[in-house]
Amino acid sequence: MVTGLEIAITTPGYFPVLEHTFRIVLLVIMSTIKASLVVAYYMHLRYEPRWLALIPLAGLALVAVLVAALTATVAH
Amino acid sequence: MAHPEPAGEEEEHHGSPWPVIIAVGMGVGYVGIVSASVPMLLVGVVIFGGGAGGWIHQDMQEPSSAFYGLATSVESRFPRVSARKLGTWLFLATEIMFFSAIIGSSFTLRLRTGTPGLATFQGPWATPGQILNVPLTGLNTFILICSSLTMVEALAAIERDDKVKHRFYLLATLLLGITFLSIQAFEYQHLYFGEGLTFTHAPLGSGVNPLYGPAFYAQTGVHGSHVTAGVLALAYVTRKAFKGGFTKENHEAIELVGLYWHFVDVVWIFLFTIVYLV
Repeated sequence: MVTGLEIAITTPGYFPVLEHTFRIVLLVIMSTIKASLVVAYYMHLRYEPRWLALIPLAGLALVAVLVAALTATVAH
Repeated sequence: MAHPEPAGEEEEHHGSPWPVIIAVGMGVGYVGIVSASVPMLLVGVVIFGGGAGGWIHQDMQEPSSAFYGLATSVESRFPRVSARKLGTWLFLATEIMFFSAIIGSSFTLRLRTGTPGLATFQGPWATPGQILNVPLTGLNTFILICSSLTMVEALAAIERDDKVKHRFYLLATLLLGITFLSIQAFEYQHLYFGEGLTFTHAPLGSGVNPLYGPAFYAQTGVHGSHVTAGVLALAYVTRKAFKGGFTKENHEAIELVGLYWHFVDVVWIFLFTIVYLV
């Protein structure tokens, strides 16, 4: 359902009032919600010991460093 | 899910030389790649293949039980997870970084060469649907998410000791994975030979940035290779399931393959948005 909504948002003619940047932010939020549901319930992270979540979070922390570095590079 | 810790007498360590042989094969193959020696690369591939085959053959002979390793002899106030599951999560953390590097570099390329006004501008990036078939890939995304659901059902079935449904859902997951790959192969064939989106050129007359093609193939190709690895892993556990290799008590391999499969699904959710919709 969320995937269908995502496609509708990007299809010309649907939701024409959405500004481009807002559309991108909306798409990223929707995909993050979808991915979070898969990780929490399909991958059972919600039912695992809390400390186990630190492992993927450590990977994501390094991703944050990467994004910051890339943003700085592009801005430069 | 967290499994109850096995009693000490049930804990049995299955020593195996095959992982070492696999590692040697990968090392030899890597030396072949960096020294541009095709014969050495082939020797590495053969050793790797033999090691993987031997390991699979050995594992087919016994049920896969949770293995806690040295953790069982160490006092800890933290709830334990099995060594294999911990290893799988560590592997997935490295995969998060790997995919972030691929996606991040493509996005930087897009911003630096696709932004009008910059000295490095080479042409605009394609708009959603201009070159890529968004509805078809949307369907493919739905297929991959459905395969995650059937994988969850396969694990739930073996936890209820329902072996018939367990095999059915594993087979369904395998077939959905193969369908995803088939649709992606069809899409590649159409884009490369039909539309003219190659590794060096955008479709003629489109005015699209020539780096759009390599960025597209790098991101989706790396993901496709991960799906292929997942399909091979699914084929292995499905075969083992049909041979009666999993029981209500011993089925950790299903959970671990499932973790990898769901991860591949999560990566695609982001890739679909970034590559096809933004």
